Amino acid sequence: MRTRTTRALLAHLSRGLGAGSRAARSCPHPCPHPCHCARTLVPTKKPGGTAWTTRRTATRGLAAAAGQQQGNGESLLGRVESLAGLHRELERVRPKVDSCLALLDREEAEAALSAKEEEAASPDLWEGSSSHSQAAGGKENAAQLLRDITALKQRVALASDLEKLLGDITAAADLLDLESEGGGGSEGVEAMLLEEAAFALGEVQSLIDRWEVEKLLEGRFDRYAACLSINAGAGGTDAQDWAQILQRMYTRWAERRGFKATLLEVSPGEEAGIKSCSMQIEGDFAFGFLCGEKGTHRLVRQSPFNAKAARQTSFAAVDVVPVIEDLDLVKEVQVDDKELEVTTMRSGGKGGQNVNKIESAVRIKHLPTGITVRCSEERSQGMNRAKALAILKSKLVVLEQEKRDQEMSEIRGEVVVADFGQQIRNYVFHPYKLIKDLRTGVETSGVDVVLDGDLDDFQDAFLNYRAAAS
Amino acid sequence: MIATRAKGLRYNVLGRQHILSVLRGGRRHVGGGDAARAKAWKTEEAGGMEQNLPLPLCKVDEKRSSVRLGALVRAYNELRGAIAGELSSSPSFKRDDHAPNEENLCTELSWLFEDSVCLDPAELRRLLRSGGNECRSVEGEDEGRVIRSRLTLNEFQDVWHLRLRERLPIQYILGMASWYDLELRVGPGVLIPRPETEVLLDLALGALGEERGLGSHPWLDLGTGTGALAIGLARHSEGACGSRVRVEAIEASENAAAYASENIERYGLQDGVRLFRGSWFEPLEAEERHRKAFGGIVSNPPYITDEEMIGLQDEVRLHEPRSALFGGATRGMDGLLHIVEESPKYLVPGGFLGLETGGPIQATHLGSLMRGQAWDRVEVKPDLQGVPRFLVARTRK
Repeated sequence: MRTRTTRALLAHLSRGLGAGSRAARSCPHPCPHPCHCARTLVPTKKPGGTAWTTRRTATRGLAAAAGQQQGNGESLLGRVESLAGLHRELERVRPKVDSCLALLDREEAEAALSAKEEEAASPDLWEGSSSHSQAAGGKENAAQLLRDITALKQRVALASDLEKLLGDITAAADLLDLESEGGGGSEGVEAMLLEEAAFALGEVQSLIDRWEVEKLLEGRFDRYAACLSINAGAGGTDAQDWAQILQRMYTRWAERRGFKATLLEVSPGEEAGIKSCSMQIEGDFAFGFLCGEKGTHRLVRQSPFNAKAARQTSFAAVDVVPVIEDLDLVKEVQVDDKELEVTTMRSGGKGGQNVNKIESAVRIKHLPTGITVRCSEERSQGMNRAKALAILKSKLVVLEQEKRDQEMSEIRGEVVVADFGQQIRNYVFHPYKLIKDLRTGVETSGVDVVLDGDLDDFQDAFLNYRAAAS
Repeated sequence: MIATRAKGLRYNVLGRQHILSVLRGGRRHVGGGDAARAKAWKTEEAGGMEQNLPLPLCKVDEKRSSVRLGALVRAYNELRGAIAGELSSSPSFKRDDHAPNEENLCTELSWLFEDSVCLDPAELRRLLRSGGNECRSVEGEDEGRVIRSRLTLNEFQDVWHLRLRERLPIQYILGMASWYDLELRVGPGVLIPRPETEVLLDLALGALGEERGLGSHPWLDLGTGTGALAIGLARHSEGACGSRVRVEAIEASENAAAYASENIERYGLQDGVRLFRGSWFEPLEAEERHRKAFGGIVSNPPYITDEEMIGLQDEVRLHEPRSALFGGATRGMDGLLHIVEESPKYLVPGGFLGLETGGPIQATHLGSLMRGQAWDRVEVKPDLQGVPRFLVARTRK
C-alpha cells in the first residue's frame, strides 16, 4: 500500500505537482515578517521551478545563518515524499519548535502585551505631544511603548504561527497514518495531505531560521535604525558609478525587507554616479543587519566609461552608524559647541536679505575627533543642522562603544576582529563573476541578485561571525 | 481669523487658475506696497485682518489631477534637463546678479514636485533624488500607476516657467518657506525669511538661557514679517530658559501682518504672540506700561542700501516687498538707527537687543555708536558664512 502511494506521489511530482497552484497561493498565516512573507508570494517565472524553489531560495540565507544543513526545496520535498519521511521530519522539527515555543513563552508575552496595550490606551500617554514645544519626553516614552508593543505582538504571532503549523503537520500525519492503516483512501487526497504537510514544514523551518537570526541581533545598537553613507573612492567616474551601484543595492535591500530608506544627502558625480550619499534606513534591526557592511567595497570590472573597456578596479567606502533615538544614550555624549565647526553651503555673495537662494545644507565637523557630518535633506538650515548634530552624536556614541570594545579585547588579549576601514568585500564582474566577503569567506557568482539587494547570505554570515568572535 | 479660514476654503474650490492668479495678482501688491504702508502707519491690533492669502501648494486639493507615474517622471526629467540650457540662454539669467545655480534649481524643482504629488514623501524623494543626475525611471507596473497630483503636467510647466523666466521665488510658488524648524506661509508681499536670521534666533535663545530672568518679561520682534522670529522665540523659549516667553510682534505692512497672523495661528500661539500693526515702536508709544517692560528686542529690519538695491538678485528685486528690503537713505540704516536709539526706553535694565544688519560696515558702525551710549556688552557676531552680521548688546543695569 505504502509503495503504491509513494509511486503515485512520485509520478505526480514528476508532472510538476502544484506548480501553478502553489505559486498563486497566498501566505497561509498572518506572518509577522512582511519581507519574508512577501518573498514567498512571488510567483516563480522559471519554467521548471515550482513554488518550492522560490520559497526555499527566499529563506536559503536564513537557513545558512542558523547553521542548518537544510538543503533546497527539492531535497526537503524528497525527504517528505513518504509518510515515513514526514514522520522523520516531524520528529526532527518538533523538539526545535518546542524549545522555540518555550523561549517565546506565549502566555507571558500575551500578559505583557495586554498590560502594555492598556498603558498605551491611557490618554496621558500622548499628553502634550500635540503641542509644539516640549513633548519630547512624553513622545519618547510613547514611541518606546509602541516599539515594545510591536515586538510583543510579533512574538505572540510567531508563537501562534508555530503552534498552528505544528498542529497542521501533526494532523496531516495522523490522517495519513489512518489512511495507510485503513488501506483505502484516494491517492489524490494522500498526495495533497503530504504536500500540505511538506509546505507547512518548510514554513516552520523558515520561521525558526528567521527567529534564530534575530536572536543573533543582540548587539547594543542592533535594534536601531541605521544611517548608511557611501563615499566614492579615488578613480573618478568609475568609482562614482560604483558608489551609485552600491546606493541602489542598499535601497533595493531596504525595499525588499520592507524597511524605509530615506535619502539624507547626495552629491552627484560630474559625469555619472555619485560622489557620496547618505541614507537613513528604518526598520527592525536595521543597524544590526547593516553593521557588517561597514568597510571598503572593491569592484573589478571592464570600465563602461573607457573606450577600450579596460579592466578597472574601483573602491567605495561604506560607513554605517545606528541612529540612536534614546535620549539617555545620546545625552551621555557631551558635545561642546566650541568643539563644533559648523559650515553652511551658502555660496558667497552678500547673504542676508540681499540673497534668496535655497541653500540650507549644513556640514558639522567635530574638531576633537575629526568626524564630519553633512545634511542637505531638510529644507531649512536649522533642521539640517539638528539632523546632522543627531547623526554626529550617534557616531560619537558608537566611537565610544568601539573604544570600550577595544579596551575589553585588549584586556582579554584577543585580536580585534572589527577591522573597519579595510576591504571587506570584493565584487568581480570581469573576467569571471564572483562576490566574495573577505571576513566570512561567503561567496556567490550571483552578482545580479546581490546587486539587486539580496544581501541575506552575507549579512547572516557576518552576524554568525560576529557572534563567534565576541 | 474666521474670515481667513473661510477664504482658505474658497481657494480650495477655485483651484489652479486661482493659485496662479493669486501669485500674479500678489505681485501688484508689491508695487503698491509703499503707499499702502504709508497709510498703514496706524496703531491697531491685527486681530481680524481681512486678507487674501494664496493657499500653499501643499494644501491645495489633491484630487485636482491624476497622472501616470511614468509620465510624471518624464516631465520631471524634462524640466530638470532643461535647467542648464535655460540658465545659459534665457534672458532672465543674463544679468550677473548671483542667480541661483543649476543645483539650487534642481532642488527647487524637486520641492515643487514633492509639494504637489501625492505619494509617500519618502518614496517620492527616493524617486526624485536618488538618481544622481536625473530621476530614476520607473518600469513595469509602476510606469502606469496612477497617482494624484495637485498640478497637472502642463501646470508644472507653467509654474516652472514662472520660476525660470520671471524669477518668481520658489517659496512664493509653494506658498511655504522652511525656516529654523518652522514651515511658514509666505507669498508676494512678505519677505521670505533667510537662513541667516536663524542665527539671530539662536543668539536670542542663547541670551535667554544665559539669563533666565529675561524670560519673565515679554519680548519684542520689530518688523516681524512672516512672524518667524516671534514664533521661534515663543516656541523655543521654554527650552532655553524654562518659561514660555510672551512675544509682541510688530509689523507695518498690512500684507505681511496677514501672513504673520496666519502663521501665529497655525502654530497655535495666539496666546503667546500678540501681533500689532505699526511702524517699529509706534504701537507701544501711547502706553506708559510698555516703558522698561521688555526682556529683549529682536529685529531683522530692512537694511539694503540704495546702491545695492539695483544690483539685487532678480528673485528679490522683482518680487519681494521693497519696504522689507530698502533700509533708507542713511546707508540703509534708517530702521537700525531708530531701533538702537529707541530700544533703551523699552528694555528692562540688562535687557537684550539683537539685530541683523547688512554686514560688517553697518554692524561695526552701529557697534561703535552703541558703545558710547546706554549699552553694555556690545558685540558683533558673525553669521554662518563668517560675515560679521549681528549686533547684540545689553542695556546697562
